[in-house]
Amino acid sequence: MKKIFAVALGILTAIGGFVDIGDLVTNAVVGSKFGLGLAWVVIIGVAGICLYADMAGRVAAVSGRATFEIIRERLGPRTGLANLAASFLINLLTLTAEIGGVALALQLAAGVGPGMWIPVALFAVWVVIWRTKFSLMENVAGLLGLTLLVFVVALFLLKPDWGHLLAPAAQPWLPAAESPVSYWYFAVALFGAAMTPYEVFFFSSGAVEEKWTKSDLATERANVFIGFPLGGILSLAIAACAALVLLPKGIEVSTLSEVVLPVAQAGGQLALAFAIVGILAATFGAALETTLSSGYTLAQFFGWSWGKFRRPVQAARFHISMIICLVIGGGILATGVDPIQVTELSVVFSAVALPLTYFPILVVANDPEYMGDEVNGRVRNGLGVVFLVIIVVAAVAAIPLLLASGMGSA
Amino acid sequence: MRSPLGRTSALTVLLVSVALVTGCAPTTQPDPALVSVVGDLISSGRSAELGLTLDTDGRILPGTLTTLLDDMAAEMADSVRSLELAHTSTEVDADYRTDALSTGRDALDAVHLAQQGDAPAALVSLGRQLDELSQLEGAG
Repeated sequence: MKKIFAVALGILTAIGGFVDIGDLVTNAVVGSKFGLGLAWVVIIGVAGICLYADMAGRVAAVSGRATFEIIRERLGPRTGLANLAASFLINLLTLTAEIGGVALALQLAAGVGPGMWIPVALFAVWVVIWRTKFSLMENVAGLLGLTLLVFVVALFLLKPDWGHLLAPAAQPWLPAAESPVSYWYFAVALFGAAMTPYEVFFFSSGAVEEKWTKSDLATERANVFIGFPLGGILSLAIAACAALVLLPKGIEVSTLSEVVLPVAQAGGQLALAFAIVGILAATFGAALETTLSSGYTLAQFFGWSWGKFRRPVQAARFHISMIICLVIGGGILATGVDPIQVTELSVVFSAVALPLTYFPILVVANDPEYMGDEVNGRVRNGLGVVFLVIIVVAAVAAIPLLLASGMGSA
Repeated sequence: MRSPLGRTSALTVLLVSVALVTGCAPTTQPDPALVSVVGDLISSGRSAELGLTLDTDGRILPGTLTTLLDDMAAEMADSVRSLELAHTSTEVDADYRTDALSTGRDALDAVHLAQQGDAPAALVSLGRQLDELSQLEGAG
């Protein structure tokens, strides 16, 4: 019974924790421009993150070590350093976006500008990381994030013509006003949002934090293969709501306040309140994860003591590095930069960094020295290679599409 | 029978003539960049309009409406500024810019009216301006 409860809790937190500011904004933007014409990207992205998160979780459960620790050891310090540099910088950008997302969510509730909420968000993230147990932190944020299911409820309340709504998903559709360059730019951005690097580093390090072993592999698989796809349905619901309410009016999403309008139209103030709580939980949870991922990647590369299972004094450099990352993120936001623009940049640059993140995971997951008899089978390897090709194509195309499309405005 | 060289020369002369005539013909379409800014104004204006409509129906929280109006006012101000700074090289562009600027400023004033608390008047004015902007966008 206890095991069933643990699995169920893991699935629920995986659903609630799947969506972050990047998924929220990118799916709403895409829905308001293309309807469900880019749903195929979400499906591919979710499949990819499931595959590689499972590999990363399995590596941690079997070897007892986080993925990044093994990458340096297995592939050498140079490859590890390249991986660290790319992952850390993208992580920092994503952390900045998530802190900005927390501030914007608080602004939606209070009506007061995000500037005053940034220090509040930074302090709250630091206090929770400093004082709260890992499992409590993960479970509360994940469960509260389930309130984002209000987007799924709103979708049904809006009484869509399902045939008309789903038609672009079956036949990817390019509105006359949009250029192919813009379409493919958003495809790459959506893919980057679904497969953001910090997710696998956090998942793998979290497995070590919670002391997973081979006996936890069933739980790990349930979290990944049930939780993540259900979280992907949430992403599609956000896009569908934007497609139903905003697209017909010619509204192109550029602010978080526009993302929640379909929920308000469908369910009124109560539904809107649920959405704001969900956005706050999702962005706060993601801020915790990206902050921890920053600490994990640095500590694991340099061989520092790390982990929330250790008292802060026993992992001082791990905690200090996270504080520094929070200060840098806050500093970037203090310049007045639009958090939504930071979010849009973070998902595109995530796409650029994907090969450096996922190729090493594929290599380690095939190494019997670390994995024993849990190495990848032929099917997993075949799929892993297929996704790696997609990842490389997205990474190569990301910056040219960003420039050619003017960040999607062309 | 005419020589192939003669037919080719005639074709070349014809093509060059057509190119010269069409290249020199005055364009009746405004600069796409101006039309794009009008599209942005419509997008922001419709978001504000939707928010105000939801407020009339009691379906939006006050904090969210305030945030939405602030965001849309800022975006519309940016669009108006873009129009003010836009360089026009043809009479068509200059006329288009003048109309877009006038209507854009009125739409922005409507949002400001809403921010000051007069939602019903703002909604009426905004609706009118958005219809005009939509006509402008269609003409582009």
